[in-house]
Amino acid sequence: MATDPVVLSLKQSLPCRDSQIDQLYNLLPGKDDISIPSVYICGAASTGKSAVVTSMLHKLEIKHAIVNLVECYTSKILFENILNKFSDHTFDPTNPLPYAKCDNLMDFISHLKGINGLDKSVLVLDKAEELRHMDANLLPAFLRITELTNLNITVILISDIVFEKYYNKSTDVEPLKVYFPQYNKDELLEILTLDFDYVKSEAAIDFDVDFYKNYLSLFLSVFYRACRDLCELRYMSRVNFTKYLQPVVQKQCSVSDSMVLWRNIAPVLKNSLEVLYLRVDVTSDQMNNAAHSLELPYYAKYLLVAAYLASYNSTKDDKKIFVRNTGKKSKSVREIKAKSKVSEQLNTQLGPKPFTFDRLLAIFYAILEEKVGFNNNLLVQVSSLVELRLLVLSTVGDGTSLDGQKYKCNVSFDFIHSTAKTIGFNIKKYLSDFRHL
Amino acid sequence: MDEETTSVSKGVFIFNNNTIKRSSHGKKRKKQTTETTKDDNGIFASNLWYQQYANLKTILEENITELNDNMFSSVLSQLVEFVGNCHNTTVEEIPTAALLTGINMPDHGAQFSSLINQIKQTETPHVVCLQSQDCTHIKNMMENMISKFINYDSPLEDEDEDDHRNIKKNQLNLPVLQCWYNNLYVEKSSSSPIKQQTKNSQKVLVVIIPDFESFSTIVLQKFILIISSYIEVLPFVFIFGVATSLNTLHTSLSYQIMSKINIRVFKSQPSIVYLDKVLENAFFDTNFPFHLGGKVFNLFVDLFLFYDLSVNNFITNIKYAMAEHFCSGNTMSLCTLSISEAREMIEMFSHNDFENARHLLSFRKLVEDQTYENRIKLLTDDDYLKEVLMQHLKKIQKYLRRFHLFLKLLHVLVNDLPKAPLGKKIRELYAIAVSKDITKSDEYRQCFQLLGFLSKTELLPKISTIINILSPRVKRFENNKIADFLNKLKQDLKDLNDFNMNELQDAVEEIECEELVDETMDSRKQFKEKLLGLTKQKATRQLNKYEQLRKDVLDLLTNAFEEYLVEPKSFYFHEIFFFDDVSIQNNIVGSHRSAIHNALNDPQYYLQCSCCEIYTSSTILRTMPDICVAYKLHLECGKMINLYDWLQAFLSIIDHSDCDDESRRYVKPELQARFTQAVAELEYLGFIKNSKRKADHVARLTWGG
Amino acid sequence: MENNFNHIIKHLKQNILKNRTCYGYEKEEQQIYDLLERTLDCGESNSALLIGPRRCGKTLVNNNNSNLVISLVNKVLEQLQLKDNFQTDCILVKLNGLIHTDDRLALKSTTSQMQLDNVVDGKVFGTFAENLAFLLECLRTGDKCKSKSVIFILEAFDLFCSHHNQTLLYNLFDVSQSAQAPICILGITCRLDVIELLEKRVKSRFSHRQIFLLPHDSQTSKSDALEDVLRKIEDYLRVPEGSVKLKTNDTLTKQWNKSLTNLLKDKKFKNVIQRLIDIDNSESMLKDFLVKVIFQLNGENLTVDIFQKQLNMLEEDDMIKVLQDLTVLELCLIISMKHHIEIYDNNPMNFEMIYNRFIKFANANAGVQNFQRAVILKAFEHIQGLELISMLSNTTSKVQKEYQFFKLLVTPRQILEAVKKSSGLPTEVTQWAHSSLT
Repeated sequence: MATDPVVLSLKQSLPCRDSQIDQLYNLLPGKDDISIPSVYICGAASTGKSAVVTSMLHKLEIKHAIVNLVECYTSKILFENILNKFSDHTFDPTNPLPYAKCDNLMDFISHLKGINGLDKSVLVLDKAEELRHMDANLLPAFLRITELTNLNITVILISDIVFEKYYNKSTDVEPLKVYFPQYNKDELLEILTLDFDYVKSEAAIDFDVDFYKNYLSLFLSVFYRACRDLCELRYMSRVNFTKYLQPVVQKQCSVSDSMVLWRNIAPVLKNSLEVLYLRVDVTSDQMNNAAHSLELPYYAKYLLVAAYLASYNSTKDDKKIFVRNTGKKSKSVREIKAKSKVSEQLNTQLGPKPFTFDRLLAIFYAILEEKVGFNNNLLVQVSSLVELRLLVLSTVGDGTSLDGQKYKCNVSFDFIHSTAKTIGFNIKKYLSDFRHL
Repeated sequence: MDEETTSVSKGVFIFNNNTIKRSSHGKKRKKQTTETTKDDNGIFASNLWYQQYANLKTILEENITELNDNMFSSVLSQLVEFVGNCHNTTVEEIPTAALLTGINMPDHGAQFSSLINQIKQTETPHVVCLQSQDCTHIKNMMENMISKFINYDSPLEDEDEDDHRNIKKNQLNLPVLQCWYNNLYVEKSSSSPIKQQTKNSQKVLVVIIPDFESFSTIVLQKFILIISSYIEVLPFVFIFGVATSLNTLHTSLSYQIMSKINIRVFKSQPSIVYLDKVLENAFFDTNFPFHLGGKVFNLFVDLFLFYDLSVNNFITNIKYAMAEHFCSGNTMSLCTLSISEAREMIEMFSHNDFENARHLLSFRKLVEDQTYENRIKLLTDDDYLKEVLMQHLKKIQKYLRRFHLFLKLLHVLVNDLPKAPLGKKIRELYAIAVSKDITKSDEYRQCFQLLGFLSKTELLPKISTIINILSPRVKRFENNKIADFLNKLKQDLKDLNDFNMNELQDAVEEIECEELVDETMDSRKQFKEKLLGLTKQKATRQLNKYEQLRKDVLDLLTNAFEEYLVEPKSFYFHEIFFFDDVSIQNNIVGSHRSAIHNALNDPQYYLQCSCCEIYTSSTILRTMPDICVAYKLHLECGKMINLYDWLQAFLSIIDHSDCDDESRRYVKPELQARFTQAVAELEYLGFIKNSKRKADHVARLTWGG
Repeated sequence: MENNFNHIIKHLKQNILKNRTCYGYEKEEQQIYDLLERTLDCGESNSALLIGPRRCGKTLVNNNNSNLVISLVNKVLEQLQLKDNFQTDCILVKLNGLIHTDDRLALKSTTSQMQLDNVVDGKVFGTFAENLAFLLECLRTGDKCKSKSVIFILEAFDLFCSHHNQTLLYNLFDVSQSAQAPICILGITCRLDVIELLEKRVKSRFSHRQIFLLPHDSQTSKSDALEDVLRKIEDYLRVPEGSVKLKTNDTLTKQWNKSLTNLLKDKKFKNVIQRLIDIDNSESMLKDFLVKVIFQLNGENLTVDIFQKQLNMLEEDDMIKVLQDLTVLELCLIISMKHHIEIYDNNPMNFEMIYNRFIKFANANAGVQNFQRAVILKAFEHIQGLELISMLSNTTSKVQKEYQFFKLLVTPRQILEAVKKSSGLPTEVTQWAHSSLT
């Protein structure tokens, strides 16, 4: 029965968050001068945590400071940010100095006491999980800031991860928790529908909300299982809606006949599901053939392949693999049997092993048909591969040795497979994981 | 990458092995310095050949720079447009442009700088380009960026500059940047800044990261997160230069980061395309006299394809070849396409210059082909030689013009034939044409067989394009040879056009139907055979007319080709225009490690001193420099080298004076000093390093043996 | 009516949040009082440690606005301050391990609390000891024998132990040993093993006087415990009738208290509280619980359901909530991780393995959507971001993500629980969750 108009308007503007808004409203020091020392708000990304908190603080006109801990790579910045915001400090553009220089908690607290009118104010720390990686005393200090400053400040921590992860020997205060659950399908539909106005403004033709709703329900039916992140979904829906409209825009069909639209959009949605989270439009086919999009010199490709082989074959197999027509078939067969038993722990699943430079060259010359002189340009290839992060220097070898340096191959199997194809090289034949297949 | 290669190949210049080269070579290195410093009053300015060389080089460079500009202009303009528009609507994510530059698109640096300039001119003054080496940690990355933004100021307001200067780095954080930005735009535009109003007047903040791969991903992710928390108030735009592929972006940026940015992909052309463009527009240009012979050209192309897809290196190689070519004597100054110029040059020739001309290989052939008295004149009489030279030059110049022209025509004909026997690219054609008589080659023959099967629809466009290429040139060549060739061609084209397939078709049809109406057939089998026969004769009959026309055209063309695409060697004095000395490979493709080994193992090789001449590589002479002795000794050791033994071995070589044991214990200080110095030098060269593992031992860093 | 009610709520909140009264520690209280008093009167130097469980009201609370606040040490100090000579010849120095994270800061604030800033500033000191000595020196009056006595109260004492070779503690204890100046050091901490944290030289100078505040109802029987808690609840929640301070009309107050008494009698309510006690029987726990209840009251009177609701919220597992918030794809990955650790008893896993396992499953049943590798990798990263899995060695930043090894941070039980609760899962997935053979 909280009939505060503010709450109602909040529920209007932020749908599907009613219970959270109520909880929060009760916790905030709006009604009386007693306030909770600390509140912990937890929930998955883009579930409206920050939105609810900020808008509520604004609407209730509570004095507050909101700091995003991501940008506070030093505690100095954190302290100064908070002080600036609490004191409504404005920079002098020509010589921007903070409200007060302070880089430790003691000064911070004394400065905080210096600012007046902080009673019943709220300090919001967004991305609070960062606190754990900062000075050890910060988290407990913020949790009990009322005790330390004897000011009536409520600290609201906002984070994606559960509070258990914060436990260590010095966190003795357990804040009150408010959990923001992920939206379910219907809620998502409702919220995405709010996007209507934007979409309409973008779109070339006219249509009504139900039309958009239909589209969204189609859209969600494809995407919901893969993604519940509101931002991502909004992005995707916007990208695809234009394509959804295309037939209508091109006068191939009217807004009404949804079957045509569906038949038209289904494949598009399927494709864009492939690039979910990747933030590229489907039309650019960089994704699926990275190896082709990347052009390497001929020998560089061979070097890369050689590096891959060196990383994913054990040294003892080299002779068997690279020396042509090795006599002892029977032995190798037995080995292969042994290998095929442990199918789970393939080398290609355990990751690359470091290899020395001369092993690389040896394999390179082994797999390369024609003879090529060993010259600078070849050496430079290796270093340029390293520069491109296709090879990485492994930390094993000490840097000083000219030839003791160890490398690792840093590309995925699919990549190397297609690269090998471009130079007509069947890599599976040379990988001990696949030879028995 | 580019820098590396060039630097290496420079390093290699020092160790070139044939002495003739070296003489000319010392000059060249100096010349390169003059090249770089772009002042032509170098020590060679007086020489004729140098003047010619210099202006050719400038022509080449101009062409290439011009080419670069309109190469990148397309992608650049797209980028700039993107930067301009990306913030017109309200954005949740940071607009990001991923610019896929090939692994070594020539001078990324230049490309990005031109990008920066363009953006600064058209879109916004706030452009920051971050280098990976000053962004090892998020702190200094942020501070770098912000200080660059704030200190961008225009030079006229200096005191403002100073103000910004004296902000300590550690006070620079995003709130400061925000206030700076607001001070610039928001307050000015309106006291109460409403985004939509001021949006357009506000300039975006562009952050360019030219080499994405070399950034630490952790730092970058944090950076993106931080910026994204300010995207509402500060309109940021990212431009990532990605060398490898978009996957790198996806693998290095994790889920929550990706959802903060909004990528748009821009792709610049693959460098192989770029190479072809350069060759066609700058090098196969009909008014560029200097030419590469087949061997050298192939060498360069192979270097490009197999080792580094770097056009810059290719161009440097060509320049090197030019230098090599010209400095072989003043005769080369005749390497020009305007006859008058050649005339001027040759007027200035001294006797030595003519002698120099007489040293050309093809001169001997010329002499042999002459009658006796002419021989004498050629060998003795400079003026006579001058005239001969001139007329031959004329020939070659004429030849060259047409050579290029008809090469293009040939290219038009053959480039899209099934598995193109002569190759798809004009450079491939060039490579063949300059090394042998292309029209005699059997690839050529194959091509024309294939052309013989072309249908009308395939053939027509080729012919018309050829005509289009030719017709503008005709005015230039007054002589009507080419003119009437063109006319013939036009005529044929017209015939082909007029020639109408359909009438054939009709003919066929009526035959067919009359066949069908005739009832006298007993078995389906017979009927089938009949039809089969019909179709056969139909085929032959139908083709005859068309084939006739086609044959005419092809004959016309092939005659032309045989006339103009002869191999350059057939001309006297072709060396003046064609450089085909493949021995420069040793200077371009260096192997510095073996060079160092040579230098230390066999110093006489470079020092040319009589004193330390050796016949087996293992022998060690006391006359050699100390470092060589030490080096050769250390070659005999394993991974670890005992310094004392080394010293003893060293001494045993350096002074034979005393061989009895007690004196072995006593070591002359100066000898020890020399030894220590030698060891120090080896360590400096990176052959050994002192190891903790074993007392008074050093570790050997190169391959054993 | 409404605001009247709010007044009651306000009163209760104040009562619960600010009230730090702790019962039944009179003995310890007296002990501390004597200690401090002796320092004050006779100028003895002393050192003691006050050790008690978290938030049992031992700590020092600056009682600013509400006079209800009484913690143990506060009580003592108040009594002390009543003595007339307190102001004249005693200085109180409060340090907190959380705030004063190193000795430099500690000394700085000490100086300011002694009001010696003006004396000290400009002076440079070689060592910490000299500095401290100087401070104490300043306290002496004209003749050597007499001096102001200083009471140091070190909160979060254990954190001081982590300072660079414990210089502060060493010097303080040293002073307290050698009668340079009359000081008393009272360390407050919740760590029972705090003595072990002290270095040998420091420990040797510490008068091993430790005062423990042990929870005293530990030995009492279950029923007593319940009664005890109920009593506590009552005097937390009962509103004093007819008090002038809170501006409510009596009817409402009466009504409230009536509902409270009914509640306390209620059988179900007792069960709830019993359950609560079984989970954790500490003062702080109870308070938190009541606070939650009070803050969720919207004008209605106390009912069992509210308590029940809070209890449920208390009992439920956040992890499971997080798991429920995952997408089907992510949940599938989690399940395949579960299978992995079950098959290779808790061996670490990397993306490749999980990916292959998932793909096998996805290919086996058509009902499951299959995704591109890149998308699955992103989902995997999301899981990592939620810290449901953690990297084994974060030094290997150079290795590709696919090969970095992880361990699973949620138990199979939690996973099954989440699978059971989350709606709209394909049946194949549910089955797969229960048995790895598909």
